[in-house]
Amino acid sequence: MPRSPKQVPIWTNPNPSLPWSKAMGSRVARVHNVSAGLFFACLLSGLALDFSVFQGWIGHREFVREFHVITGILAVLVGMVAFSPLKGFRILGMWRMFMGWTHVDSEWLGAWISTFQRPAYGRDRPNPGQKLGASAIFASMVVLAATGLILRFFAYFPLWMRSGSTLAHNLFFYLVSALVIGHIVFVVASRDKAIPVLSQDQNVGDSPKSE
Amino acid sequence: MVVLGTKIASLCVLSNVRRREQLSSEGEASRLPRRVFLGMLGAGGALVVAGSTVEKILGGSLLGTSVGLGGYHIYTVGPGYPAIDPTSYRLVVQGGAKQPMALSLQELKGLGFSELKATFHCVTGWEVPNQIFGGVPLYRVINAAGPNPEARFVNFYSLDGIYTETLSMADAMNPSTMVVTHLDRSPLSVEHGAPVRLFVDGMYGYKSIKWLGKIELSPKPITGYWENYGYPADAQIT
Repeated sequence: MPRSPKQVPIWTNPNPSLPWSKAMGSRVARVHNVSAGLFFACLLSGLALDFSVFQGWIGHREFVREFHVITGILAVLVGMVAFSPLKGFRILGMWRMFMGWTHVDSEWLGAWISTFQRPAYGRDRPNPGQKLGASAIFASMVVLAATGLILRFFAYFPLWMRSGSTLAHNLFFYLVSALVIGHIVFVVASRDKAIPVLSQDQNVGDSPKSE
Repeated sequence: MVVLGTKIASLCVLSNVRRREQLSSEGEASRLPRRVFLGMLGAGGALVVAGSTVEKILGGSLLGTSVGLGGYHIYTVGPGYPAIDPTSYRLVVQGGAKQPMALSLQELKGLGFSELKATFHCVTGWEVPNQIFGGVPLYRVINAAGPNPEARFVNFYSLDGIYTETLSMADAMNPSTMVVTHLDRSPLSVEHGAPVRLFVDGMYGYKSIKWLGKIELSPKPITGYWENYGYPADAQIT
């Protein structure tokens, strides 16, 4: 009998003494780091493509363009494909983990906004800020990938669509840059917890369990 | 700034979420992250659909001025911009010509300086309207060189030898195809292809070769630089 989407298992933290991102295992941290590196290379090459001053320094537009396209596609693919084979874990389960939102999340967000202090939150799932940031980054990556493909294969699309894609691609570039900078700011602000997670200097295993 | 921006955005949506949650049972999930995701997808789609109109209303400068030069996004396929001394510059005209030439800037201007007001269209979708291109119509240069009857194409080469383009003789003889030395009544800057570039009105910008060094009248076309990478040889604006 086919399962409804609500029955897709959501990953839960098997070791509450560790933060969720840590407990997912070293593979997730490696995937994050590789994907982030590719995405950063994609952003930098985007700067080189569109800012006159960088064009003057670097030039070689067709090489930079291909590099930009390949790193962008790889950044998305690595993020998606590498998560899939995890034992007991599915990309849809991760999606639901980030998209889930309860009254606890609303209260957390309200307290954060009113006090400018990050309230305590359970370690078994991403906090509301991480959820909203992830939602915005996921959507931005979809928009950037779609408009990027239109710009790369422009000959198949009408001029109005190319113009709109250029505008959308550039605006979302600024947006995703701000999101990434924000993400890094929060990582640095909580570096005592976040950096060890990225470097995986604790060994917690690679097999998160499903619900 | 990022933190503050995030908080302001969160504040805007929070009141709506709380109101919604009061209506639902305690602890029931709202769909805020999903709404953010779908809202941003919708915004991206709306920009693709309406972006062309928005750019036209704003004079094509919404992003061009922030990332480019006077509304232009500056591109180069070589290692940066070539440095060319205008005093020693010569525009070579050769091939199927009765009188091959190597024109200095003064000699080029002597063929008859004129201006053309037109829109610069990039094939990637941006454009810069109401540009005043100053220079010499290409047909005057070709006529001065005296094309042979078999010369049915005009091939162009940049000074650094990297960029190439080609036009049919009919397109080259169009009065609005210009050998440009000035943009908006100022000498071309190096980013725009100084000291001399081509401007082909009615065609996408990749036909308008920058840092123009050599014009060759030929019975055969060459494959232009971007045509090698799949760009259509017919660059008429559609």
